[in-house]
Amino acid sequence: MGRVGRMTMSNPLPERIKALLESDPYAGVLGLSVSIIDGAIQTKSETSHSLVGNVNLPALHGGVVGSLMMLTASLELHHQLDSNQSAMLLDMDVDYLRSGRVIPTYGRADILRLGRRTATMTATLWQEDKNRPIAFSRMSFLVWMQGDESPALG
Amino acid sequence: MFQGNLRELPPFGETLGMDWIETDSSDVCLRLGVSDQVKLTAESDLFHPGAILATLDNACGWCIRQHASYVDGTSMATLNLRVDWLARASMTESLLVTARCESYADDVAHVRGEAFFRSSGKKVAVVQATFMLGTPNTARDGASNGQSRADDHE
Repeated sequence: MGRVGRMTMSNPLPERIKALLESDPYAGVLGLSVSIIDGAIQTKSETSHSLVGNVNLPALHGGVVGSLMMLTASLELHHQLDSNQSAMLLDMDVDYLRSGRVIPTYGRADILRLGRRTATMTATLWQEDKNRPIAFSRMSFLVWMQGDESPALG
Repeated sequence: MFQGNLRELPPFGETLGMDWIETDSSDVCLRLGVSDQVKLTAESDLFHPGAILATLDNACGWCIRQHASYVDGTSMATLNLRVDWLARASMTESLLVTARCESYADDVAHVRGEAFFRSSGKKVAVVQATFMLGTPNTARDGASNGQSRADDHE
């Protein structure tokens, strides 16, 4: 999808997204890279044996699949937030649709609603064919203004 | 209550530095140790929610093997996983994750679990997951040469 009949536009990575990615060691563990395509974040993980959960198939670990969608959504949200806003994940519901093979894996996320204090998002992960997603998720984020006291949960 | 155990970890579990803790119940218990790669950011002292999710997913899958009805060798795949993050998880000590299998049927198993700190008992996340049982557990023809593989959940 997106390759036939329409052109995709790739844009330079905003400094905020670049900084977020560089400051996240866990994103490095997942081999994550980011591009802006048609104005939205698209993530890519090269994947490797170190990310495997089932060595027999082999298949990516469920935690890798969930984490890739989590990071994709977080980056997309921070891409859309004002520079003085920040967000943290509250909950996540992941549907695993197909096993993730150890091949390049791509992610996109959408904001369903961005309010003053929360954001509701979805994310999708695919590999060779965007029309055959390997996982789908819905997430809630808490949003706050930087400078205000960051929310303390629990 | 807790003793060492040599249960096998998947590659991603080893990547993140998880290890198994033996308990005196049918629950399984995993420990996520403090390390730079599971930090939220390089400057923070918080566990990354993605690393917590991965540990929860790993424990959820393994606890099914502890169920009285489990038949040795039965393969499984995560169908759905829901996580609520209840509190920020400071890296003052290792994080423990326990999971128990609530029901085990012909096709599916239901699991609940939580992540907490041992010293205070403070819960930082809870999980609820559904697993498909008897899913394919070997690479299918074509999987290794880049062709599409039939869905594991079908």
